[in-house]
Amino acid sequence: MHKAKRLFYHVEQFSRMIWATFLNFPAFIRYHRTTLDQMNHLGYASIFLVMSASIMIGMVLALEWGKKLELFGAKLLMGRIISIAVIRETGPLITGLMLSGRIGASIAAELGSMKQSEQLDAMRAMGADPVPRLIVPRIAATMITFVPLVAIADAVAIIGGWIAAVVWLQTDSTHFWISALDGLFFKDLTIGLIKPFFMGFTIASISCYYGISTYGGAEGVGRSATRAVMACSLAILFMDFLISKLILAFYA
Amino acid sequence: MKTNERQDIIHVDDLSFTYGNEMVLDDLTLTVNKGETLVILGGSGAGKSTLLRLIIALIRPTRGRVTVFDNDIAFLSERQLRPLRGRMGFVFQGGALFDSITVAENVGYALRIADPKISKMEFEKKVIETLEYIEMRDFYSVFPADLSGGQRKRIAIARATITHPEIILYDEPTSGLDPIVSKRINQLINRLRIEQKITSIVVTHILQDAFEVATRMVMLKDGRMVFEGQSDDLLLSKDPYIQQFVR
Repeated sequence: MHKAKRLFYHVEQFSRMIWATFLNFPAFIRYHRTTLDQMNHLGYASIFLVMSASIMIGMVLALEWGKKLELFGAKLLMGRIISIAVIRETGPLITGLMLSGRIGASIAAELGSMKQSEQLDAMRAMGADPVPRLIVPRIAATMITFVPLVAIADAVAIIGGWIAAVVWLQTDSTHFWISALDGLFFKDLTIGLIKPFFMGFTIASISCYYGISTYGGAEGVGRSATRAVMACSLAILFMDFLISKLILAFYA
Repeated sequence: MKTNERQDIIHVDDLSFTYGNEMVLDDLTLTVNKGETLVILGGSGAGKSTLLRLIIALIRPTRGRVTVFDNDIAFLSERQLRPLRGRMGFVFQGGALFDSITVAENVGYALRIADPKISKMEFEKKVIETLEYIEMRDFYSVFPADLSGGQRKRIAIARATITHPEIILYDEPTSGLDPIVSKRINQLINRLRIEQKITSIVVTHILQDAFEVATRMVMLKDGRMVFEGQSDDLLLSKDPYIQQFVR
C-alpha cells in the first residue's frame, strides 16, 4: 500500500476506535474486574518506577538551579522554582514518558499477542465487541491511575529537590518549603492535574491501537510494542506542549 | 433477521477476495445444506481459511455475496452481525482460547454474551454439561496454558457448541495433532452432526480426516474450486492436481 494511503487508513481506523471507545466508555464499570486488574497491573506496578525517576529528577533540578541561583543570591527561591517546574512540567512529563515505555509496550504486546493468537477474532466470532471488553477498561484504568501517579511523582520529586537543596547546597529546610508552597497557584495545580488525565488517554489509546492492528507473528508483536512506545513518547511531548499552551492562553 | 425452512443455509455467490495484489479467492460459488458436514480441502494458500472468515464476516469480500440464513452478511454492521454470529460457532486453528481465564470461563464465554444476566448456577450447570460431553469435566478450573494441543482444540469445540449453534466452522481442527487425538476430534465432529444436527464446514488439508467427517467435499486450488462432490468421487477424479493430492 502506498505510504500516504496507509497513513490515511491508520488515521481512519484509529479515529473509529476512539469513537467506539467514547460510545462504550461506561463499559468500564460493567467490566470493573478487568478495569481493576488493569489499574493494578498498569498503575500500582508502576509506582516504584515513577518514584525512582522522580526523586532523581528532583535532585538534578535542585543541583542545577541551586548553583545558578546562588550566583544571583537567590538561593531562597529554589523551593519555588522546583515546585512550579515539577508540578507544571517535569512531573507529568517524566511520568508520561516513563509510562509510555512501561504501559505502552505492555498494552501493545498483550493485545498484539491476542490478535496473533486469534483471540480478538474469536471474540468477534462469538458476537462480542472487543472495544468495551478490552480497550475501554485499559483506557479508563490508565486515565484513572495516571492522576495519582503524577501526584506521587510530583511529591517525590519535590522531596528529592529538598534533600539535594538541604544536603548539598546548605539551603535552610524551612525556607525551602515556605518558598515551594508560596510559589504555587491554582493555575499550576490545574495544569498539573489536567495533563495526566489527557496523557493517560493518549498513551492507552495509542498502544491499544498498535496492539489490535498487529500483524506478522511474534516479530509483529515486538514491532507493535516498539512502535507504540515511540508513538506514545512523541504524543506525550506534543500533548504536554498543547495543554500548556491552551491553559496558559486561557489564564492570560 | 430472516430465516427460511429451506435445506441450504449458506450461499456463496461469485465470491472473490484479494489481499493486496494477491487474489486469494476467485469467483467462488457454493452452497452448504442443513445438517451436512462440508469439508473444504486444499493445500496451503488455497484460500480455505479465508473462506471460513468470509462466511462469519470476520473479513469482507472484495466482490460477490455470502448469504447466511438468508441474510447477505457482507454489508451488515458488526452490531447487525451479532445475532447471526450467535447462531454460529467457530473453532480456530490454534483454539484461540483466552489465556487469562480458566477453561470454564472460556467455555462459558459465549453464554455470558448471549445472556449477560445468566445466574452463576445456570452458568456452571451448562459449562459442566458441555465439558462432560467432550469428556473433559476435570479441566474445569485449569488455565489454557496447561492444556495440550488436542485438549485446547476440544475446549475450543466445547466453547463453540455451548450455545447450541446451527452452524460450526472448523479451521484445521486436527492440524498438528497425533492420529489418535485427531480421531477423537473427528469422532466429536461426527457426534455433533448426528446428535445435535449441527451443520459443519471443516477446513483441512489432511485427507484422512476429511474422509472421516465429510458428507460432501469441496477442493480449492489457488482460490478456485476444482472439485465438488462425494468423497468417493474425489478418489475417482481424473484431475491431475486432485490425483496428486489424494495419492
